[in-house]
Amino acid sequence: MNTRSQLLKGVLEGCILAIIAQAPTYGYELSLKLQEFGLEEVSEGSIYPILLRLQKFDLITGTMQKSAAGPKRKYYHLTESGKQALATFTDQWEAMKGPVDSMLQKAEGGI
Amino acid sequence: MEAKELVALNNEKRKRLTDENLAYYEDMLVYIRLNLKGSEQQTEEVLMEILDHLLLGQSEGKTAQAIFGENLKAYCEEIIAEIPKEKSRDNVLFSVYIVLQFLAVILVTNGIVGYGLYIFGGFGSEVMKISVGAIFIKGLVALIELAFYLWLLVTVIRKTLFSNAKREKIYAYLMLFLLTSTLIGVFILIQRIVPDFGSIIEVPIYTSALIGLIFYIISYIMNKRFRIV
Repeated sequence: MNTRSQLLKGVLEGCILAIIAQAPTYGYELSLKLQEFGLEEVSEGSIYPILLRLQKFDLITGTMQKSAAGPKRKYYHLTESGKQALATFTDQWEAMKGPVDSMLQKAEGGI
Repeated sequence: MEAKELVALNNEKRKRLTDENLAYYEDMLVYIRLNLKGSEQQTEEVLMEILDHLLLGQSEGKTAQAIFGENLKAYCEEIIAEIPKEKSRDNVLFSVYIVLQFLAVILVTNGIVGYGLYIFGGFGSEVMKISVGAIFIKGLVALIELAFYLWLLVTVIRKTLFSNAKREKIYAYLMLFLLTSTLIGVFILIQRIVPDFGSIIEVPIYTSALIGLIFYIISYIMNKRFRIV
């Protein structure tokens, strides 16, 4: 799958914020969670450019902490602006989801 | 954790990769580190995360291609595009450090070889006549050549790292060899043709080595203080 598509990038950003909002998460764990939710087509590595970008815009911060398995890992937390960004994403998604679905369904019906 | 510690830890951890994954990862590492404009701290942090990810994936039998995709160069470009710029203070420190080290090597070599030849072989002279104007021009040219050469090296490595075509690599390194020879030629030519101008000072030839040593000590202290390399 071409992860450079703008739509997917934006959606992935929202999903990553949502997962980090539940609990501080490190990279590998995050990619596993995305797959558990069914985003299996996204290549695992594609989260790292997004994590860098979210840090650049100060939506998340990373701190090195000991993991349950032992070695130190970079755990990500949501910042205040990250929480706001997640709320905005959720609102926009909710507002778009219904209309887009029904439009696509209509289009399918017409084929 | 600071960038230098991350680099050391990375060197250790990398040994646990399989040969195939190591080759794949080291290409990434070189390519991403060669982005000299990026923040060193962020670069090393993401490289460590990618390494950790690859190690965990490896233990579950995943290949590097499956994790990072088939187009490694495009993936590295995506990473580089998101790494924040290095602070200009750090860039200046790094440049000053490189220049001091470069001048130190040239001056110490010049001083020791010149003095040695005079003492043991009777060649040359014990005193060095320095034309203030000429040495300024020569030094400036040498520094410009150094900057150009570093840029050239980085460019060649970046262009050929992910290329599997043998011919392209051979061509690139042949070009690099020719350009290197030309640069050395130009360097020697400039040293010979720039005429003396400005006031002339005479100092014993070993002074060159002493000044070089001072430059080296300054660069050493700078590195201790600011952890440059």
